[in-house]
Amino acid sequence: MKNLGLITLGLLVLTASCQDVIELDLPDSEPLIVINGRITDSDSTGIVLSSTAPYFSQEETPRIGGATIILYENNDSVGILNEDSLGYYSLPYKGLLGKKYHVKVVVPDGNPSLEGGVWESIPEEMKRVPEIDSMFSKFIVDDPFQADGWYPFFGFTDPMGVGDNYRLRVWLNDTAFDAASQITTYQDQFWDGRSFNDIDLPTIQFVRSNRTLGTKFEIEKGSITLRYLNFLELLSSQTSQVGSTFDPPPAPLLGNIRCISNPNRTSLGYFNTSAVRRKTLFL
Amino acid sequence: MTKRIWFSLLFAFFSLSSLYSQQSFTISGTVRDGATGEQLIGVSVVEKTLKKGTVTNEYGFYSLSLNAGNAVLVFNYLGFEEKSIPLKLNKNISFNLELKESSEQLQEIVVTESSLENQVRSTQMSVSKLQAKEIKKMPQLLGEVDIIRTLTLLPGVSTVGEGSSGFNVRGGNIDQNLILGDEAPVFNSSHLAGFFSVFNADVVKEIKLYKGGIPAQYGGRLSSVLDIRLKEGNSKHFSGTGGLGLLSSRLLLEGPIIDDKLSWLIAGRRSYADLFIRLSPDETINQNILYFYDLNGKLNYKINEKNTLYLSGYYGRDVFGIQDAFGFDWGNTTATLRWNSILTNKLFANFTMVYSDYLYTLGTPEEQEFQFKWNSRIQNYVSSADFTLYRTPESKIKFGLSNTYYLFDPARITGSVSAELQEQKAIEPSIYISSEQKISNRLTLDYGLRFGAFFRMGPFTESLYRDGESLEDSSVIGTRDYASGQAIASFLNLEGLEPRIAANYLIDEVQSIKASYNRTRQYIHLISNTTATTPIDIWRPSSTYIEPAIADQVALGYFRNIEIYKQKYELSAEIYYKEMRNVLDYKDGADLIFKENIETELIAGQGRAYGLELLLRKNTGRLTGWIGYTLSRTERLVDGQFTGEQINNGDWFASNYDKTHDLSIVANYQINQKWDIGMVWVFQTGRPITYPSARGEYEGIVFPVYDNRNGARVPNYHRLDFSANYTKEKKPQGKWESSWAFGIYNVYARRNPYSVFFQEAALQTNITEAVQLSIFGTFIPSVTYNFNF
Repeated sequence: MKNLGLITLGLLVLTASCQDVIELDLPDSEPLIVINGRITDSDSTGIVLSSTAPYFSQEETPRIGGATIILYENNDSVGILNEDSLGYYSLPYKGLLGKKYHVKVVVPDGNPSLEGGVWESIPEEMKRVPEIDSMFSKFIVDDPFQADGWYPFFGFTDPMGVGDNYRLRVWLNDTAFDAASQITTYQDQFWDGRSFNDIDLPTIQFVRSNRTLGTKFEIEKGSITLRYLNFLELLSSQTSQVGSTFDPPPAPLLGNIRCISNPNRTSLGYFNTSAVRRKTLFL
Repeated sequence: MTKRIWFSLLFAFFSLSSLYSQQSFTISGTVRDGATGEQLIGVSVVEKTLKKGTVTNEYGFYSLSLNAGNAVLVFNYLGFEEKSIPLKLNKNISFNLELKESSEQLQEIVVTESSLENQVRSTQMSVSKLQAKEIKKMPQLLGEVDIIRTLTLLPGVSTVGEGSSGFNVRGGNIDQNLILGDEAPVFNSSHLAGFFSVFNADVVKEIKLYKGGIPAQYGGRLSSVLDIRLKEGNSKHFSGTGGLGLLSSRLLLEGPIIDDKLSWLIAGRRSYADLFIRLSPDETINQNILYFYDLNGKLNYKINEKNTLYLSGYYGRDVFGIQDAFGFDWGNTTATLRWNSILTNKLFANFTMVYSDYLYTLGTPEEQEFQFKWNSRIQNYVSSADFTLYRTPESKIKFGLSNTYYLFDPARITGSVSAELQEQKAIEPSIYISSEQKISNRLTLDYGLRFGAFFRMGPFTESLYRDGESLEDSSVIGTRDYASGQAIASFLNLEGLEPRIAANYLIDEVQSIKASYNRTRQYIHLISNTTATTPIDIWRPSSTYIEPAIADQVALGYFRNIEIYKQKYELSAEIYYKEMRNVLDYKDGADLIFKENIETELIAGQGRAYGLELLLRKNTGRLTGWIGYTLSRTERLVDGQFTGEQINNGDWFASNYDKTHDLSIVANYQINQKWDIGMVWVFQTGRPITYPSARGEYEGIVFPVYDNRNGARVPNYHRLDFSANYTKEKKPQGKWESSWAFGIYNVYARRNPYSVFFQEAALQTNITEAVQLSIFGTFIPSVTYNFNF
């Protein structure tokens, strides 16, 4: 809702203007670390370690192997992640509500893609998440934004107390719906304690394009901290809100990673904590 | 022998005493256009032999005090026939005059050297003056006469790009321009995101843009003052003017109710761009609504020779909608009441009261399941009194006071959900005095002092933050309540003193050097972090956590009137340097929409701008126009105390609207009585942009990594426009005059880049591309039918 006005104005200008792909030479820069991962109350804790690469390198960014990653719960070490394959680390440890989690990553010198160092993420508390009350399909007609057809909806009740933030992730036939423009976050600032159940507030349609009957939808509703919500919104605006006269200014996508061995070293990525609830629906 | 000595002494004594006892008398009055009764601004009134004189003010009033005796007053004004009036000065004379417009457009119109309109003689520097007639002749985008766009063709004025509202003057941001329409402040100067200005050119009489050397009577914005004076209404006979164009149409009607006493004017415009949208095959586009309209109304009542009352109003709206599902409209409303009074033959007074309201509404209709209405508004009430004392031909004193009361209503949401941001109130009083003084034959000084203050008033509940760290939502430790009428923040101190000084040194009859210094202060700020402003950007007042912005500007200029082969040209060259502090910038990823604690997203920074402006202008003859060139730099420094408050690592970076070179060539040629043609060619350095230095990945999404701000540039911008006007021969008996205006915008169809952005190529992850966005990709022809009667 916040960005609706901007997007529609952007539409106005986009319809009259034109876009051309151009060739550009961009200078290289020193690689930075990117630490991405999360801990939930249902799955293994996982981390992907990579480094940045030249903007037009046109391939997957280099993965960083051989690092030591330690998981902490309320500042006590609870385990060292195992390297499953180059750059992918995991530990079968589930988080608990109310506890704070962070990781420490040690990359030794001699790594081919990145200069060695020690990093830590800022601890995040696992916050409460409500159950998904309902998930069903509805047949929609006469909607100006989409064609007539069956669409999936879900509902939930927000617990009382402002400050609950959520992220919704969607899988279509087991493939993640994960483009930057699909990042969906919620803040209970306007509807604290209210219910999305078609009685109080309308249930939420979570996919906007027409899908055939029999499609498998899976949604995951996770609690997130405000810092992670801001990070996701920045990621979305920096990658998908481009191409109009109302683009937001370029901003470094700093997450919650800090370099302890050298505080002046820019570090990217996010290690977040979420309590998650999942549900599946066949259209 | 002694008799002779006595006689000589007596003679000398009498001569001396008659010198001291010589009296001075004042001639004063109003100068008007003989055909319409409109007051003429800036008419030069000069005594022929003494070469002493003055100019008429914004209401056509002049006052000249000369020694007793015979005098010949010469009234001179560009486009009108000069008049010489012999007068016997043995008492104070009240003398009103009507000037006749020069009948032949092809005739040489002489602007005499002694005329004070002459750029060389006036103390004003850094000023661009345009009359409505000049603007209407220029090639226009889509046939629409646009004052703001025409101003950008003059040196020192630019925009960040097509499709952006507002304009930049000498490196200042778009919220640093004080835009006045008949003394009413206007907050958004464009319709439809910058494509049309809110000023209907048919209603405009004269425009003055002060880029520097801002007189003490104006304040509240750092970089410029755009003073637009509207017509009053034909007080002699009913007349009208209008036009039908491809994108919009307009009609103006004016006339007297009581001849020469009570006159009125009504003008309206409406666009119909939505008709073209309906032609689109794309379903998501062709059911949308997009139009603007505006209405100007004026009523003028000349109570008697010394007092006139003016009532004017403006109402403008932009409407955008997506079928019945979503609507968005915004616009300005202003109402002004003014009273001129000629208190004595030397003292002119003007009292003004203004109501101004800028608001926007967006929302979904009530029938929808999820219904909401989002309103935002800024209202202000201005009252002011301005006096001009015409002491002698060498000394003119201006003084006055003013107060503005602001009511900001940043956001109010109703419907399925409801929420609101607190209202904010503020008061901005000011007082000024200035003196224009001719020190010697060569040197004239215009010096003044303005003193302003600002009070942010309650009721309000303000957040309190932890000391020693950046203002963040997470560092709020409590709140403080302020009652209605209680001051939350007061800016009443010596920093509110704004000296304004200008000097003109005449080298000889045709050339002069001018210098100026001014300090300006700004108390309200437009909060917007996108390159082009959106209509939903809001203004915020200075307060506990937001300091007023301050600017200091010095300028030096050389002015020369040249004559080559009997053709007259004006040449001016100016250099300026401006420093700004407490200009607002935004934290990375700032979320400005519906933010109560807006101070958590703002960082105060510094700015500096400097440049050279050259202008060669020809106002008379068949060929008129100008060549303007600006070489400039404008940059910002944002280096806050705490982490997260630095942009570009705390180093100077180019402002979004920095354009190193800006060249405009504007020409209009009157071929004969029926045809005139024109052209405009502009060249500008591309604006600054930030390129990524690397890519990173998050959950399979490729994101750009930036290590600088505005370190690169978009490719250069250049464009050619043509225009041709065909004026039908007017029937000798008839009143109806018409003309056709043809134009082509962007003749060689250059896809001028507005920006370059970076994204993952559609449907292919890991492949990224750089894309150039152009607003207009082709040439755009236009036709407008204009008429008047």
